[in-house]
Amino acid sequence: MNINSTPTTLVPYTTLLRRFEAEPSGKLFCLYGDRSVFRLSLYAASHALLSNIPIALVDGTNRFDVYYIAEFARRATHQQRIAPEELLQRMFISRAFTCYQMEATLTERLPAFAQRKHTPIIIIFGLLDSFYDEQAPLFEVKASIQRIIASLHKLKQQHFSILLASQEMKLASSERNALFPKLKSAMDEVFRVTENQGQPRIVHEMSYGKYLGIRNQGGSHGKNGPDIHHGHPAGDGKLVQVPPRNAEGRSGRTR
Amino acid sequence: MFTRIIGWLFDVYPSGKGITLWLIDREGTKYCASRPFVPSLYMHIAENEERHVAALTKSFPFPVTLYRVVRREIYSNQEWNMLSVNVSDTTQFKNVVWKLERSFPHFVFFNSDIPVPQMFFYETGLFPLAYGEYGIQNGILTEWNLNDSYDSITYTLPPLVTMKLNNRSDFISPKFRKHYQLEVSYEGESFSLEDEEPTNILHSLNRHLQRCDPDIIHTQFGDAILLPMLTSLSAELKIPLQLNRDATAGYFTTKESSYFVYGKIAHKDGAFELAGRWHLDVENSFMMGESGLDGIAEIARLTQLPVQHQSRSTIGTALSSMQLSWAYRNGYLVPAKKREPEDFKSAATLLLADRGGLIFQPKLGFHEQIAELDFVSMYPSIMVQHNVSPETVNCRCCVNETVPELKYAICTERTGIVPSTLKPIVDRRSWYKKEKKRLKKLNDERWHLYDHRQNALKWILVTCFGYLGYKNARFGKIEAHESVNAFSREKILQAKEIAEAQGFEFIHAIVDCMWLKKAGATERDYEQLCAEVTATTKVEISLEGIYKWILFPSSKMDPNIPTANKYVGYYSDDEIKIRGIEVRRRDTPVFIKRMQGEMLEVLKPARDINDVEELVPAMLSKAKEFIELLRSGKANPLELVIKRHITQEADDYKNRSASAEVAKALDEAGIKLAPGEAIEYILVDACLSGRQATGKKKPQKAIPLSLYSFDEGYDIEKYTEMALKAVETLLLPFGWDVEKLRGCLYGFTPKKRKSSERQSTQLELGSFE
Repeated sequence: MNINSTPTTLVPYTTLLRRFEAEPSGKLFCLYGDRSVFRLSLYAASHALLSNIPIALVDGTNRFDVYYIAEFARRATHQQRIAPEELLQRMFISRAFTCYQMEATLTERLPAFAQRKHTPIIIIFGLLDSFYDEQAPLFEVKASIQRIIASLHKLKQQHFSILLASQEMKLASSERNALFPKLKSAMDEVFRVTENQGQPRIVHEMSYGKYLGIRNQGGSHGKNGPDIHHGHPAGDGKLVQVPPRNAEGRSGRTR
Repeated sequence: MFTRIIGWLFDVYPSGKGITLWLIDREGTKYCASRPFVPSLYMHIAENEERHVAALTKSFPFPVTLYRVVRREIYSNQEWNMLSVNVSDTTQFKNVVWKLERSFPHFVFFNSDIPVPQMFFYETGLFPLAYGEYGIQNGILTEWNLNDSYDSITYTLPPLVTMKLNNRSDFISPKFRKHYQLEVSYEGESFSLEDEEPTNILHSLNRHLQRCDPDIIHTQFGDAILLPMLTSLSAELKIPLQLNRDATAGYFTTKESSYFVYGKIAHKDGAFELAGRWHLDVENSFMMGESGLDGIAEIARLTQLPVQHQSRSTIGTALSSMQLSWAYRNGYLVPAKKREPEDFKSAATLLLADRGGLIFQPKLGFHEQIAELDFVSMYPSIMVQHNVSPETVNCRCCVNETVPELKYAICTERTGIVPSTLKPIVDRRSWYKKEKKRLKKLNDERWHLYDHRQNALKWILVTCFGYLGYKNARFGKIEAHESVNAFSREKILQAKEIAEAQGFEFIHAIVDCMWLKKAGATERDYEQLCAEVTATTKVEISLEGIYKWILFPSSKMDPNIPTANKYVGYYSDDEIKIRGIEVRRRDTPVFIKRMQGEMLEVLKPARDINDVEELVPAMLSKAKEFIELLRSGKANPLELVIKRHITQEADDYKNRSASAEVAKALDEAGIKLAPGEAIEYILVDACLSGRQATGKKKPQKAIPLSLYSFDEGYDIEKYTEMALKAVETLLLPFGWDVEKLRGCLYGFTPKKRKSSERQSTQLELGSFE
């Protein structure tokens, strides 16, 4: 664990962070791509904690690194003279090991907990990871995701900001591969993280809440096409807004 | 006609008549009967949704009745108004569930995924091998009066006839063969079914089945290979096989599966179960290998799992069945899907909670006069003593901070499902162990019986803690798992404090056992210490023994780092205890195991470290014998077989590891293996073997045992390296590292090493040469 390694993404990520914090409360963000999404989300969480904002985190992929937060707390609190314990007490975690637990957490436990503890920011790691388990029947999985999306929207209406962090996966089952685009399409803002010559590159995909419902009726969402990053100044590590390309619209997600 | 039978319940399975049962009386006569049974599932839905259920179930060609019942939900401990869905055809229960699951969310279903025979046992209170009086009226079991209980200790088993059906014994498993030489054995005779036409093989097998009429067909690889092969042959040639005693029933089969367990991939063959007979496949039954039929009967009775199913199930399934039975007896609902989520906890609490048991690293090297003290069934005892259960930890009714460090609450109002099911096992095992001790040298047969039974129970106790945190455990909860660890850490720390306060030196501790030393301490002193620790921790701790000497070897990666789970030593009664080193490891070739075992045998007379040191030349001499044989190329290749498990399918391997090569070679020979399956191979000299690795123009470095021919030799250098490492494990504390051993044992000049790298007692080579 190296806290100092984060500044490589500091400039673009603070932009993202600012956007996440500055948006009027009650928004659904999705950060997906390579595995650095979890570290970036924790980085965001750490800064929010420093600003005295309590956070609820639901981990569905066992990527929450409590030692990262502890180390951050140790260093940051050394500079700011706050007890690390105080910082660690502001972050609340619940781990879900099955898709059924994930659903129960997001639809029952989280809404009640977030209200009770006043955690305006909610982070969810690998929401769908346990839904990719073939032991869970697809019809159950699909219905469960619908219920989760409904619950997330309800939380949004109650002015909670939610950040989903997911590692991009290529699954053997095409039907399960289609689950993530479906979830993504229910988000307000989607950011994709890729690695470019060792540097994380964060690309702001279109705002699904704004465009998808209107433009993407044709069902071409998720298909591969030409690289949408081509010609955009994203390679230098800056956050860029990718405008909608054409009437078909697309996610910009290339595999 | 009414028949009264005094005997045992042998087999049950669902059939068109409800449940078919087989009974065996004291003379060994078999009786078949049926019993109407209507399995039920419960749905937690509003009354206005009942119509939807009624509409869905109306389409079935058999009656499905609905009525309202009140059942208790385990976590809230509240009574819920449930819709009971009752299916009149036991063979269609799954189909009804399947149809309803498509229209209602998963969380409304309770008791819906329990196999019908288990449900029958839970609801009737019957259990496999239950002894009593059974009344049969016109083929229907109308009454019974048991002189037995599922948790009885002094039970008997029926007289059972066994037939063995195997591939003729050789060193290659039938999984790696394309041709089989079947052999049946019963009543002390063996009959070969080889060299016959397939038709004749089937007729011949049928004849033997008729003549022997076995209760148990005992096979090796019967599930994966033999019975599927025989039944497909039977279908192809249209010759019905009489494997089932019930000619009207089919076979109960399941598919093979690969799954992750503790970060490793494991494989389980599918099941092939019979009707009216037991098919027990020793290669597909953990319990059969561990404690034989005695252990299987013990667990089947206790868990109420039908014997064939129990023999193939995991310990977790067995434990889960006991919990289900408890839930039925106490009127609790059984959720179809585990969905009780983890409570939100602060990062500070998670930092404390997400830890295992305590380990104090050992002091490296040889020690003498060390005592080992073990907590008896520490984790299950904690669960029982502290009422640790998914519904009792952070329950909804109590406010307390019972769990050390974590301050979780534990219910004081009710006893949880986990302690309720574990307590009888803990008590029972303790009884068997005491009886075993009493019967030692008095009654060999009973001693073995109780040993098998206590060993079978041991595995439930070993597994119960892990199962509490297992994601698919129906009654599991991560907070309960964390609580057990927190209690265990507290108890070992208490033990440490008590011991140190009395002047004992703490040498090493792993979770539930510790190694101590005190100059001049006697067995009585240690027993007194045990009594004090037991009184304080409320968990029994006992003196395992006092070692004359014990070795804690170093890590293979760094000679200065100790390893927690490896040690070897001789107790004062000359009994050896070995953990984690090559001779105990399943992946070590027999040759290396034999060498290390014989070297340890040399150390048997050693009373202290000085004696051990004096015996080093004799150990080196023993090692030299083995290594010379190895290097002469004359070692038996069958003793050099390496066993591993493949982690992926042959095509998915991208590297050129030995496992990859072997998987690919087998695949090319038409033997398809699934991830987690075992392979056996011999390392060969890549340049001399002359074989080409599959798909590459490179020589093959490992050959599967089933494709190996003796003239291919073996890789002398690699096996020598393995042997040297095994010698180093024992002798490094005396300065004998691999390089020095190489120089000494076969004339290789060792490189010079910095003197500071090893603290050693140098021995002159001349002293043994």
